[in-house]
Amino acid sequence: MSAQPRSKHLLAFIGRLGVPALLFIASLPACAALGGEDGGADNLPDRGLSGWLPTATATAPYTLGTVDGPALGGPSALVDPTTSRLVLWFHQRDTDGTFSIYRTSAPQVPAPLPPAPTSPDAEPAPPATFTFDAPTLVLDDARDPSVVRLADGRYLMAYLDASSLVRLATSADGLTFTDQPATGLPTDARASPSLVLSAPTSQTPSPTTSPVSLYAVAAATNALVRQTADLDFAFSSELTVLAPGVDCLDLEGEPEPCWDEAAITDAEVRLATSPTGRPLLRVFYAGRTSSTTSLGFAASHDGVTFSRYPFNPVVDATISATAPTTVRIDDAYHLFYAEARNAASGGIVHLVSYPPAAADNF
Amino acid sequence: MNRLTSPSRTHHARAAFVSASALTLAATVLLAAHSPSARANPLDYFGFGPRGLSMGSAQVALADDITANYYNPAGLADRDALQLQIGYTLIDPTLTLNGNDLGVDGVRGFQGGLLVPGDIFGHRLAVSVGVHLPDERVTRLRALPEAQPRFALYDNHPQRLVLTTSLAFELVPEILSVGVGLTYLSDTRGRLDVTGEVDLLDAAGTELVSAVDVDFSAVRYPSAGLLFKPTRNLRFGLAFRDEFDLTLDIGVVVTGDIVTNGTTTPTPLVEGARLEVSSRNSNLFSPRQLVFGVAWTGDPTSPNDRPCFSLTAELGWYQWSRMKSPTAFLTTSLDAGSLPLSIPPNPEPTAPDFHDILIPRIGYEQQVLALPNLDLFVRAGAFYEPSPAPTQTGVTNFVDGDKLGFGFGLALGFRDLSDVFPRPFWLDLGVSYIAMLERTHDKVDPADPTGDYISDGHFVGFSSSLRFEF
Repeated sequence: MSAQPRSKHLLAFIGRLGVPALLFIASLPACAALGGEDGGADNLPDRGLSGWLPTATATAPYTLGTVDGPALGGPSALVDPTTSRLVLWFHQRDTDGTFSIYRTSAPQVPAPLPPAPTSPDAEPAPPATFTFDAPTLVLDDARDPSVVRLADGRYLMAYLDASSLVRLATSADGLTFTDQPATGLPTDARASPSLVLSAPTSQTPSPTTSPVSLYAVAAATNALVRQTADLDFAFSSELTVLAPGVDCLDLEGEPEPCWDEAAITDAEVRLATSPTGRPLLRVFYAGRTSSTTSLGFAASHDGVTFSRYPFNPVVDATISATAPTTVRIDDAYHLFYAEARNAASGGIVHLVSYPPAAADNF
Repeated sequence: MNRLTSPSRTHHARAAFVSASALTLAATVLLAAHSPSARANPLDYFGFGPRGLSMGSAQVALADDITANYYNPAGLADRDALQLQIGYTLIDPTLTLNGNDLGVDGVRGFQGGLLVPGDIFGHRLAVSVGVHLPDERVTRLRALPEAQPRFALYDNHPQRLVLTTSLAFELVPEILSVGVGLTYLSDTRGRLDVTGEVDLLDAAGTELVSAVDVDFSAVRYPSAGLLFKPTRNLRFGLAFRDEFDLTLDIGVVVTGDIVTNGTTTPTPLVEGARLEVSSRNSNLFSPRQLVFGVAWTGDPTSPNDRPCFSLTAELGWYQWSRMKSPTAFLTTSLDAGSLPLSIPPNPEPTAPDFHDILIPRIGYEQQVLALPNLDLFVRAGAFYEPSPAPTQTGVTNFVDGDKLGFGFGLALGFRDLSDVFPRPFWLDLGVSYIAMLERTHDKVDPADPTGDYISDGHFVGFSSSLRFEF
């Protein structure tokens, strides 16, 4: 084909068909200027470690308890699979200085997110909290409960008696507990016992070597220790799994006090499953310096070696924060902890996290 | 049109070549002037044009239209028709972590170009320009924290305009052609200069004047190709695309005096204090590539001059091991004189530790209909692309997975419809499905902020084009 006819045909094409197309192409920069949303960051995995929203209001700072007392503490939360209710065991400091354990429950209704503020300057309303029933007394002269549900449907509770010794009790209904004989439990004071029950029917290997793991804070070392037992409740000797923080560095790489350098005061250990199906142990714990008590997170694959979350503390409380306990309901994480204003008053704070894509399941 | 079946080809084409070359170069300059931020290549991921999309991008030994700008510039000298092509490509990804869609942006835009053939002393010559023009954004710059999960190859890389110009020459008529190309991109360097006085105690006493200087410096990376046709039906293609690594370099320099009583009678504490903050990252890396392919073609059975079938296979090597971290590296320095102020150094970003990969591709094209005014071809192809990214067990979350892609398409050739089109014009359609295979990322650290996750996903693609030959 000669060049002249080729050019002629090309010009004819441009004249008949190409002009509309070229005009369309010329309009594209305007389209490009419109741009689009920056995608790629929706639904990122969220383990329920940060982004906590307090449900407190100025008039109701606690989901349980009041600022005038009596002092509540040591919450242990559990979702009852049979009633689908959120159950909370906690202790109350009575007027004579003794403690009693109570139980309450609430409909497992996910707290709805509050409506977005109508103006950028408006303070967002806090999310709703649970509406708990009137508490029922469960145990006298007892505190710091930790409750798990056995495979046969019974509840197993670890708690501290009046001498701060760890005791076990079982119950068919979560209300009436009877002592559970056990051997090997420590004979000196402990704090914040926490039970972990590996699921015997689970298809995945448990990070605990025995069906029952008992974690507690040793008063002598202010460290988290672990004992394990089969269902005969013959516990092994203690093993320290998480000690107060040391060797913390500031941004310049210089040593600085750790947020949990003085003591680990309370810890709740939960058996969880990662999105890939790996079992792991999550622990929310209270750490103390000489002047503050805050909440942090650590986790372990084997139940023995715990690794601290790099962005601890996760709750930097202005008032002392102790005894954290967490549950996941649907795709929301809920964190309860005790706040003590003084020896006689304090309540249980509820925080909630609504990640777009909850990850760890427990 | 193949020379063996194009006796009308004359030396007058040389004049057309010269004039059309000037036109192409002018268009290239014009387009380049409008693409100061062009900096990437979505073609690496999804191919160029509907034919490539539907044949698994197995085109290094077959491409002979404007898509050869990308696949193999030597293919541009394979035909003697002046070609004008315009089309649209849409890639819709659904990439998930733990089954949740991250909403990674799709790729959509116009693809097209111009191919102008000619000859010199009986050797075919061609110049061409190919362009991928996104219709959503011309470019996007961002540097995410290294711990933030992102699909590393699809998050930012495809969101770019691509402009490629090529030159091809037939060394041995009907046997051996070579081609070279240049793809135009740009680095981004910017600096914010702030000068004045900073009141140490009272913000109201601070006076600063700022100036911005941003430079989009041009970056070109070469490609080259070779097309060898030892027989009428056998074709070998070899293409090389060089590595490029574009940077986003943003800095802030604050110089001035640190004073007290800035609102009344400034008292200098430090004269000539200086703060420099610089953020630099590799905003786009494209690996060096070497692709070798072979094709077996059947003789044309209709006046369209296209082989009645084409079977091709190729293997590409992608040097991903040289990829740098896409995370911004922040460097700071502070000279505050006698004041005891300092800024701690930032750690360097963690190396991504990508590795080189080999990608096999196959494609097939068959003519299934040859009517007096209509030709119909069907196409299919597949490829397997192993992921260059390691399983993300550490602090980084540069997520990727192996890909398995399938394509299907057809081409309709219309002949003798109008005197405007003395040669067939072609409507090409292609669809593709690319599965990103499930991958488990178990973190070494049980307290990792992101934790374990499973990645998978898929892409659905569509491409169409109209190709006019003159």
